[in-house]
Amino acid sequence: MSELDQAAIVVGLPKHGKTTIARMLVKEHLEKWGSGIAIVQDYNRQFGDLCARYETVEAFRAAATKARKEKRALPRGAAFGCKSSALAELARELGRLHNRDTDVRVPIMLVYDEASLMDTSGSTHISDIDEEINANRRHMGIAPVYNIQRPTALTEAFYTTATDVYVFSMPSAKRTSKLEELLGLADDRLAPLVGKPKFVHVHWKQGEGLV
Amino acid sequence: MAVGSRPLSNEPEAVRKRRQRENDKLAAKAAELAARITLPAVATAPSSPPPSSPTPANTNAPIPLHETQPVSAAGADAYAVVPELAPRTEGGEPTPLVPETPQVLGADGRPIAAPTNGRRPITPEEAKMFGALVVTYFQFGSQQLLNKHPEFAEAAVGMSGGPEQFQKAFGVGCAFLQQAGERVALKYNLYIPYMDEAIVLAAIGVATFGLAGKPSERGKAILDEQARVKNAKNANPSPPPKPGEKAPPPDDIVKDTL
Repeated sequence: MSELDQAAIVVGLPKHGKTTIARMLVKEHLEKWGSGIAIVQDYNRQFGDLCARYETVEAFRAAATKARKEKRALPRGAAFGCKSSALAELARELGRLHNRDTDVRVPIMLVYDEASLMDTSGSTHISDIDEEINANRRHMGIAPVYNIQRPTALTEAFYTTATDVYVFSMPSAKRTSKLEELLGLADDRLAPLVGKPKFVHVHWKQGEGLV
Repeated sequence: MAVGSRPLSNEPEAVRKRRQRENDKLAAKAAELAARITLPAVATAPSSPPPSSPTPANTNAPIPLHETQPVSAAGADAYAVVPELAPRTEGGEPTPLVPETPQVLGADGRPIAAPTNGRRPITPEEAKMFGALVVTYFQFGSQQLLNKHPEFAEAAVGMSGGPEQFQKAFGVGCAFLQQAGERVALKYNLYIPYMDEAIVLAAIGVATFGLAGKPSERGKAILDEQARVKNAKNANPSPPPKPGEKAPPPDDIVKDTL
């Protein structure tokens, strides 16, 4: 996943490798785009070697302002322990401020390492801000990444706009069937994933299927 | 999706023309993309998967599996830069990567100019509340004005063409006033510091005054009358039986049988 018009969902049980995928995406993003930034909701502090840590968005603003005035470098990755709504608003603000669809100056990767802790959207609804980000991500230069443990932790609206979905081992055929329905795959196409060991996954790409 | 696909009956001509130009551009782009993309011929039976996610004809074919590899990084500082962007125009100032204060977004989602009165920018919610407060105050005051000056009310109703028309026009005027209030609040950065705290304290104060404060003379008279009626009812719950009649059963026995 290295293009700007992207949105990823990573589905898997705990300790199967979801955060590793998210870390891989953040690292790729920071290496590919010299002016790109990553905003990560990181409750479990797993992005310390990629991102600087801030407890609030205000602390991040203060650090960025201080670094700019002193002409010091600031890490382009920022990991937060605060609410996801604050991070979504920050991403939207920076996206609207710096980016247009034909001129993305600051590619922004917005990562929810545990989307079940999102205070915006959930399994039954998508909030206004998430809908705005997903629908206008190309214009705002935002690439959201959602890590979830169940396929139904996010509504179909997220899958409709996803460009990449990574699926790890599933505990039952009921969950693989749900994913097949959401991704438009043939029946039982993901059945081999039931009971697979940790770290093994498939990668679905929009327009290409399983790659 | 075409920008502004639903025409507005009262939008300005310039806005309508701009939207039409944007729609024409999008339509031309869509036509160009359609000419370049050639989709393979696929069966369109209802049970077959959609063309956007092609799968092998043999669904028993093995699926491509990957194994996650550990990701190591050299530290957050390896991806550090001075957080500002080069100016967009020649000779301009560099732009901060992250503004020091949250930028207020306008109706089109673009940041609006930061206020210059040295305070933090008002939020859209606070601007809405300011507009609502202005309208509420206007409604209350104008009602009192019409009560005190009936000739104004007669003139207003007469000019509107009747009471119903006046009510309608008044409602439209209030909606306009509310929007104007929001714009003024945004323009001049008008917000009430500690407004939420003031609202909570005021509500607690009113409730405490009601519970602990002394009643007025009129209030005392009403409360005394209510107490007198209640005491009288308790003293004489039912009339005494006439000679030869059986006394009615006590209330508690009647309740038990019910």
